[in-house]
Amino acid sequence: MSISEPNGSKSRPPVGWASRCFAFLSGFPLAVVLMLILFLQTWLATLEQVDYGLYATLRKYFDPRAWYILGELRLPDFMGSKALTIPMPGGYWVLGLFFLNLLLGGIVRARKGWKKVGVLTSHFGILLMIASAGVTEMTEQRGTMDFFEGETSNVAQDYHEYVVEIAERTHGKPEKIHVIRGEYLSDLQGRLAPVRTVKLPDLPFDMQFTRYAKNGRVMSINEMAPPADTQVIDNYYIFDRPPNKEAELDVAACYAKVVARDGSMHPNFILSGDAFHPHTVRVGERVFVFQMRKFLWVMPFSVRLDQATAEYYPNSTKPKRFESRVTRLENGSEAMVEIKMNEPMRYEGLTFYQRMMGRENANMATSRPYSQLEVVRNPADQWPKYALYVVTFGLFIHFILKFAAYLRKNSRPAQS
Amino acid sequence: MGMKRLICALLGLALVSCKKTPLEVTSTETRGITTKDSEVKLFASSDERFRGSTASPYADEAPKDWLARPASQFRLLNYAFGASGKGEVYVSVSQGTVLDNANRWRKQFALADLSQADLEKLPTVPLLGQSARWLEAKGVYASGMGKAPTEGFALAGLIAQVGGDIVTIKMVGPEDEVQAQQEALRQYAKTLRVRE
Repeated sequence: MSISEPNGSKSRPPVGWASRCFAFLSGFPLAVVLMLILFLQTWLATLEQVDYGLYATLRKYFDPRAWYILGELRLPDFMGSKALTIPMPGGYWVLGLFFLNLLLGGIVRARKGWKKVGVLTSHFGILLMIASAGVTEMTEQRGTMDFFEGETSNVAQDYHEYVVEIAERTHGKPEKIHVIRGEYLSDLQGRLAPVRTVKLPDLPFDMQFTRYAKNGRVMSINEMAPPADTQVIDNYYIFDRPPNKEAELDVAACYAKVVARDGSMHPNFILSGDAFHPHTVRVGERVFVFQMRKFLWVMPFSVRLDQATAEYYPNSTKPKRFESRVTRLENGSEAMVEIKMNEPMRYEGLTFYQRMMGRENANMATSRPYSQLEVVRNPADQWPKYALYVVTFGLFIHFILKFAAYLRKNSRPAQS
Repeated sequence: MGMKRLICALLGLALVSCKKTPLEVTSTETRGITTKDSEVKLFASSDERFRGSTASPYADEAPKDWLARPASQFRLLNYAFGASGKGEVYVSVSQGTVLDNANRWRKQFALADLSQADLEKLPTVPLLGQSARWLEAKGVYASGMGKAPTEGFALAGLIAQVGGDIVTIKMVGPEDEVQAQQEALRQYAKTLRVRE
């Protein structure tokens, strides 16, 4: 059986491996298989996120590090309620291959001409949409900025990434804070986790980390006996809990050690995202504090919350109107902006969405209102919208051309 | 065949891009100070860090060569000392009598109990406005905390009745290191005071 190619011609016998590879990557069969896999993955991920949460499911199916995934399909009761495991290639790579397939088959090899302008434009729109997903995956930063009325903030806190921060304490606040990113910690999970050494050339010591718990609770041995092989430090240990469905509620913890270059000994210690105070270590005459917290992302300007307005539908907690009146402070200049639901503030590549509102406590008369903004930095933020415009325009052109051709055909006198 | 080379390059890039993080990395990332950075409590104990408990009721001035360690429920002030890294000094509040606590320590070195008369013969050192009994022991140390007995260890410590409590300062470690730190311990005891 011969395969019909995008340009309508029959396929010719491939000459070499490169030609075969090109023919395979730009072919319809690959496109169909990839679209079926994407459909299956979207369906399974939609079902799974009910049990495991949206973030965890998206990471499982579409993380670039996942070459393959094991999709789960829960069978209905009459089939035994078992979970059927379906091995599949990782969604990120399926999408990447689909991008290549569409680029080669739908643009490079496709027949060119004014009659195909609409289809080519639509293909370009789809490519733009896939590219926006890739750029978002690789570059997007997302966090929250929260403040009470009258307060100013210049920082957003990441939703998920826990980091270790090290600051030297001399007189008052430190000048800068060293940050060890989550990518150096998050793979050190489980009882057999290795020890990772993080070299810190700007400090008089290096650090070692092990047994990172994505959602760890620091327990005292007086509260609960530690499981076997658990490292206990100063009567405390890390108890590994299952992750939350809402991944932003997870609190990370890990074991750490300071390896001083002057040869002085320093005991292991525990770092936890919900510790009340940092850990302090004296290295020689210098004092350093260590803490685990969600990654703080410093803004290029400050934002002051002037007024937070929240309105709810009667007898419900369903928000009717959340509105933050803020002042943007930058290099001595001020700009007043109103941020409303679906009306974000876009500035210097950052987008501030209205996310939540609340009060300091239940006393509505005296407690201060606060606002939480979601801060997003994503160069491809608007690309999906543009992609939809392009696809719509392309299809519109295509249908117009087809309709015109139909009318032309019907207007010709019938030939006997 | 530029396009075909591009395909091969893209596939190659995809394969190389999935490497694992090595077990030794270098980090130089820093960030500036933000509105979320506030004053922090230094040298907080584990109880304070993980349970938000209150600070130690005692303040002190430890010798410079003692290394402050996180305090705990039973160690209100906690230090390590000595080149071996095994020496430790800590301040605790206990129950019972001075004699009970003295004999508890002696048991850890498999020594016979003291009588009240023996206790009163022990030298005294000022501690929190009281006269604390100075105790010494050496030999095989078995702390009774699930750790294996350690040979060649020594103890030097003070036990005093302060109000309704028994306050102790216990120094344990390798014999030579404890011997070398005894005078420092006597001086340290004089610096201990109730936190204002």
